[in-house]
Formats: sequence, C-alpha cells, structure tokens
Amino acid sequence: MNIKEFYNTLDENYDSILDRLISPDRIEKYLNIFFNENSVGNLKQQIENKDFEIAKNTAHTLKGAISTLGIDRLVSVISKLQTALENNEAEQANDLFQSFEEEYERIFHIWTNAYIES
Amino acid sequence: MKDILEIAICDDSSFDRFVISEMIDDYFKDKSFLYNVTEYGNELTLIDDIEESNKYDIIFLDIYLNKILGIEVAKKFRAGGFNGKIVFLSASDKYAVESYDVDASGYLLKPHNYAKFCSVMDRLLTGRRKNMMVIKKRSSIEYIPYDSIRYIESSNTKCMIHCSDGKIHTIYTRLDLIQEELDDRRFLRCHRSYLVNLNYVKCLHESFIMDNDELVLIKKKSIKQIKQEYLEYNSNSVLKELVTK
Repeated sequence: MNIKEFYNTLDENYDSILDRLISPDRIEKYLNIFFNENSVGNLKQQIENKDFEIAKNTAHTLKGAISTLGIDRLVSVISKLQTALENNEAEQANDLFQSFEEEYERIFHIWTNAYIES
Repeated sequence: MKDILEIAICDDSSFDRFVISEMIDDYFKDKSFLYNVTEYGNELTLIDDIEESNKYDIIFLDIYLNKILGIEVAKKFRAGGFNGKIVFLSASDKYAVESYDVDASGYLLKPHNYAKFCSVMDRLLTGRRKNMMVIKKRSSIEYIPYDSIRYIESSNTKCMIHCSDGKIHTIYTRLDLIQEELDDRRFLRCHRSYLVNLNYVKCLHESFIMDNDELVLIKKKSIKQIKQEYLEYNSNSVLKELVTK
C-alpha cells in the first residue's frame, strides 16, 4: 500500500494533502514522525490525572499535527475534545478522548500493518 | 567571507519543529547557502541565547507556546535590540495584524504548506546573495566568487567549475541547477554542457575563445541567438563603463 492508498483507505482527500506538502516522501516522513511520537499516550495520562491545563495544550499540539497530516476525521474529534478540556468538562472530555483513541488506534493499525509491513 | 545563515525554530510541538526543519533542509537542498538550524521546545532558552549572542538571522516562532504568546516573546526580542527576521507559526490568523507591531517578516498558517513556506523564505533571502558560489565538500567548504568562474562544464553526473586561477572544482550536480542558482547576466548557457562567464570571453567564432585560449563550445543550432546575446551583453557592459567614467 502506498501513501495515496493509505489515505484512500482512511477516506481522506490525498490530493489536497499532496497539494500542500508537494511530495509523497515528505508526507510519509511526517506520518512516521507522528506515529512514533507518544502524544496520544501523554494526552490519555493527562486526562486520567485530570490535568486539564496541560491536556489542553497537548490536544492543541496534536490537532496541529493531525491537520498538517490531513486526517480530518481525527481533527474533528480532537477539536471537540480541546473545547471540552478548555471548559473543564471532565465527563465529556473522557468520552471524546475514548472516541479519539479508538479512531487513532484504527488508523495506526492501518498504517503499521498495511503500509509499514507491506 | 563565510555567510552562515543562523535559523532558530521555537515551537513546543516536536512535530512542528521537525516539519519546519525538514522544509528548511529541502528548501536549501539546491541552493548555495550555508545554514544552521537550532530547535527550541520553549522560549526560555531562546530568550537567553538571544540576550547572549543575538546571532539569529531568522526565528520561526510559534504563536501559542505553552505559557506565553509568541507575540509577547517577539516583543521581548525587539525590546532587547534583536533585529533579525521573525516568522510566526500559528493555526489561527488572530495575531496576524498584531505581528506587524513586532515587524514580523511572515505569518505561516498551519496546517503547513510547503509552497507558502518557500515563498516566505524567498522573500527573506532576497538580496542576501553575495555573488559567491558555495561548494560543500565532504570535509570542507569552498567559496568561489562569480568573478573568478571562467566557465562551467558538465560531464555525466558531475560539473567542473573552471576558475581564473586555473583551479578546477568538481561537484556532483546538474548544470541546469547551477545555471538556475547563478542567475546572473554574465553567465550564458551556450551549450548543453557549458555555462560560460562572458567576462572571460576573448572572441567568438564557432566557439567562444576564452582569455586563456581555451575553447567553450556553442550549440550549433543556437549560434545566431548566442552571438546576439553576447553582443548585447558586451554593448551593455561598454555603456555601463562609459556612464561610470
């Protein structure tokens, strides 16, 4: 599976990402960096510890990275999560994080199994 | 005559630091600039470094740093006499107008966009060229003034830069890329394999005859046009001299 097929599998608009980042190699490099970071694990820990001030910043940073990568369905969930954290809405933040994590895991699984190991 | 461009990236996101750093590397890949990139995960060390040495030519500064706004950090820099270029990075255009107050040179919106990044870099580097070709070798760097380049010859994957002191520098690149980089009227692409410095041409027949009697080939099909360009360049040079006198 190449980068284009990876994005097609996610039902994301590969052409608009390529339009912004110009080369598939660059997109691949950025995806590698993103999936090798532990920002999602850190965010989970911060939400569990109810450390919303820090979690808010982590969510903001994650949102930036995900939007650069053009994974819009994750951007949409993390934007809502960021708002919940800003408003100190613990229960909603937990629910939204769970949705975010499930979607992230699904994408991560596609990336590692279908792209990296092919 | 070393001219190293010092660049700082200050962003609390390691991903964004990576992105900007990668774009900088890509931007300079085919350019004769020496540059050095330093990354900062927060503003504190950067503020210290600027107070100490004021060495940066360009700072890429995130607007939403963890505990402070990048705009406020930039104000501190300017108050301390920092006169380098500042380019803000942000997902929001909320501070774009305010960025003028700190004489920002650019405001790059996230998600990152390589073409927009390059256009900001082009603008920042306008006028910075010193008519000097920088050749990066494995363990050294050579600086060759345009004035001392007699002609450049390409052969397979390499190019030989023939200089007026008789030295020949070999680099592994395409002549097209060198031509694009030199972008100076004195250099004329007269053949698929030759780029000639017209200031070293003694006369022109079927080929250029150089000041040291070496021959530089001219593409047969284009000889009329090349002659025209050579004559135009010479008449302009003579006119310039007359005006100066």
